Amino acid sequence: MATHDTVLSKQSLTATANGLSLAMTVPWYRSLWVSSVTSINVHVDGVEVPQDKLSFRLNGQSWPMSEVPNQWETLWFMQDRAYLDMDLGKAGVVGEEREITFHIELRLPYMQIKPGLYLPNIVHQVVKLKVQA
Amino acid sequence: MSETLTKAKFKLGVTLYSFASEWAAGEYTLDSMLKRVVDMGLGPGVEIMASQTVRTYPETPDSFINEWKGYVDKYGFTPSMYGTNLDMGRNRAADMTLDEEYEFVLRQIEAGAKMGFPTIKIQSASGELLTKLLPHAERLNVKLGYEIHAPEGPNSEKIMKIRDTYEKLNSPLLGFVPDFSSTMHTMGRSMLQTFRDRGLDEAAIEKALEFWASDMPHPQRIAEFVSYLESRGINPNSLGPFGRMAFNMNGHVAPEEWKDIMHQVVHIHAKFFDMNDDGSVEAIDYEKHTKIFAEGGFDGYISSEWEGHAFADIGQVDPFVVVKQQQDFMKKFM
Repeated sequence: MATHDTVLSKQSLTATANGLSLAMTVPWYRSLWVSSVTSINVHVDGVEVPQDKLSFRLNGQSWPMSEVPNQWETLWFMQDRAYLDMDLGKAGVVGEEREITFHIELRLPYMQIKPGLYLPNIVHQVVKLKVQA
Repeated sequence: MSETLTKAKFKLGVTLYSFASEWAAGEYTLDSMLKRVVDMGLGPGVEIMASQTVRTYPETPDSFINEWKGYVDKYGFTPSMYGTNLDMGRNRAADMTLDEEYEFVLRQIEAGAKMGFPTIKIQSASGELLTKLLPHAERLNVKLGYEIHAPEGPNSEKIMKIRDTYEKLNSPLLGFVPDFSSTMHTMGRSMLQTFRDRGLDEAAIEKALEFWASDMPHPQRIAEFVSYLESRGINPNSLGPFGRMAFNMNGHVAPEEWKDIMHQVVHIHAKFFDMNDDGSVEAIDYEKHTKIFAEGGFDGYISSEWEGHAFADIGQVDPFVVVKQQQDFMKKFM
């Protein structure tokens, strides 16, 4: 995992009151805008988490996934972690191992191919993570 | 008798881009990173990128500018180049207008000048934008540099257009930032290792090198490699972004072409990916590059730019150590 494909670390998965949360590093070598996130799809133990059960949280603000591409004035600074909160309908259990299939697509806002079209960066990771407190 | 070297007028330095993985992981603060740069003697020049270093990007409040000046005083390095970005697509509803582009970049140029950088890297060199920015570069007394990076070279079509624009605007403040990625003599070893890690066999590696070294236009070289992989039943997507990156990050223009723009060089990126065991840099002829810019009389800064972090996991390589090795090697030819 290098600068353009590092998103999750071993400590990324934490328990929440209604599910799990994933801490994410910007998978690029510079800070990007929240709007640079085109989409995120995640499976936990092979089961896809519906989009309306996901929210993207950064520095105390939180958005449903459908709103993420519109946040073009909020910077995802590369030293800050963003969190993908997953509502799984029950509290996460610390210490359990879960298989996370994580797929993120970015639109790089300065790498214009032609007007309105930008170079993507796509990262797909399948990892087994232990739920942290 | 040994060959006499032209004494180089340029100074060395480093771009903090080399330490991107460690920065992202939060292993360093700006203070501790600059301290290590100076402790290891990687200056005197220090280059930063606004979108990497500045939390409030593209704004740069006076508090940050003062913090930066404090580091310059405390550690005694010299600001070399400030990298700006132009995020014309940050709002998905509409690309930036020319006026918005101008304001977005000007803010960063103003900040870079206040922080003491003599040169500002620009991401767009369109004539319309430069016409608006040039009076400010004159007012602030900073040079604007457009990076020439693989797969482009000093004489490629895209760069020739910018050279035409520069000729029309006719200002000594407009220039280029050569990046050694344009002028490599082979694909980097770490790139090829990544191919192997993703399952390519030696026959496919040889083919990649063959297409890379051919004279075909850049997109065709990628297309030929893709069709070769398909003919072997290998899914090109199995390489992830690396298939494209191999050709985009490793250029094969002749280093001598840098002479064609020598009078417009305002800063240099001494790109490298890996060191050889004998202390030389792999895949790029550093002796030739160093001599070309020494003989050309370039008197600005050469920033070491280690880009191995595109391939290596964090912790595999200490980027500060390899930058030191790379600079020691360059000094032999200065």
